[in-house]
Amino acid sequence: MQYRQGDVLIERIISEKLPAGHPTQERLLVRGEGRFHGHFLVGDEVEVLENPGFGAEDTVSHFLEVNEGAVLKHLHTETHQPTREHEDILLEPGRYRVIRQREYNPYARAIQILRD
Amino acid sequence: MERAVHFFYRQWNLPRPFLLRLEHPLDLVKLSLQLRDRASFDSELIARYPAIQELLADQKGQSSLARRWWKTVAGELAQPLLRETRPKNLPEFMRAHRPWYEDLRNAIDGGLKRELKGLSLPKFAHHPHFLDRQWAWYYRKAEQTTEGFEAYWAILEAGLWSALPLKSWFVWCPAPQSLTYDADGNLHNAEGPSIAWQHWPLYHWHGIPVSAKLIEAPESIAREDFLRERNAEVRRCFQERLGAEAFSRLFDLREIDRDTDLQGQEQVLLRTAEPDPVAKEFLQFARVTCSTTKRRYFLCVPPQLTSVWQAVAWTFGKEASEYRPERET
Repeated sequence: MQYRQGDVLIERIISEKLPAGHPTQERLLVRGEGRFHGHFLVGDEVEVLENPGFGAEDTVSHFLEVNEGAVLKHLHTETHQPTREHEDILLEPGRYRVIRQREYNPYARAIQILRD
Repeated sequence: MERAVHFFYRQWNLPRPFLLRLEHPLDLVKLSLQLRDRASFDSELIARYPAIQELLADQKGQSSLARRWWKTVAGELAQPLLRETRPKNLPEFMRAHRPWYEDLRNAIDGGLKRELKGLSLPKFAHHPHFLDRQWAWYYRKAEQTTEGFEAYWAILEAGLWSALPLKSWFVWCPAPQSLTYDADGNLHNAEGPSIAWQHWPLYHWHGIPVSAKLIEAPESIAREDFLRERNAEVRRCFQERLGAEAFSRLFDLREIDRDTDLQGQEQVLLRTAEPDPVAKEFLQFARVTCSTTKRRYFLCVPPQLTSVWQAVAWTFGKEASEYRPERET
């Protein structure tokens, strides 16, 4: 099961436990650049792990353990008001991976993470 | 302005400060960094404002009065007014106006951060600041205000954006000379800067910060300008600013594959007619449509991909068969 909010793909993981990662209290999963917009995870019973291998080749930035449902929101990072660019996405209890969008740079022959 | 600033310094039993007006917040930030890190002198800044050399040499001038301004403005001017008038409508008034002020401050702070390229912004005095107009304008209509409030209002009315209040110097810069918005209230100007200071223009396309070149000289935009930009929103601005025809001409794009995504939005795989002379390969783009805003985005993908599903899935590190988002917003 996959959900997409702009440049972020959330994918359900069918697994007994989350992959290894660094626990974090930060709920701003992806910060936009220069615009004060970001993708926030809102929910009380949520565990967020940062993927230490995140990069252009492994575009999974976080793993999520959602125990009581959560919502992915696109908000202004300062005022926390909805940006109206992307609707909320409701996540049922379960485990998920957060995948960032990437693109190809033909001049550098490199893969780069997109910045919303 | 001068008389009003002197009023406050007199209240604090300080001698009259020298007033130094800089052109824009970037110069104010540069001076602030200069004071924070005296080892590196910005000769360009000193050349533009000879008084800065004097200021830097003045040891007394280097203590900030930010805390005293805060105490006076927030504690002695604003709080008594709040208690006295007990405005039922103020929170609503502030809520209604706050987004406008916040957007403007964020746009300017964003511009400063881009200019400083990774340097952290110095912490500015909250007062005096243009943003104080939010509450001060409201109280301006109150029947009774104090002499202090009137002096403070005079500073705001003089067009101040922000200040660096020091013991013997009061350094300030004015608010932008003009602000331009689109019909939805986003900073936007297709003809020039949306936030205009004479020597520090900031450009926006429907709220997105963009380069001067995109607005002032779109005909000079080259392929590399677009591909160098890694922010998807800014890229969308390139496409909108240039227009579909000019954008396609820039890359001479041909359609390779087309389909609708699971939300019914168009997605197209496009390829240049000829290999790019610099990259020495075909340039290929997936053009996708946001289901919420209906905006179109171009994403560069590797040239060996042949279907649009393959291309969009690749942008998330997936094979075409693995990519089936059931909801997209």
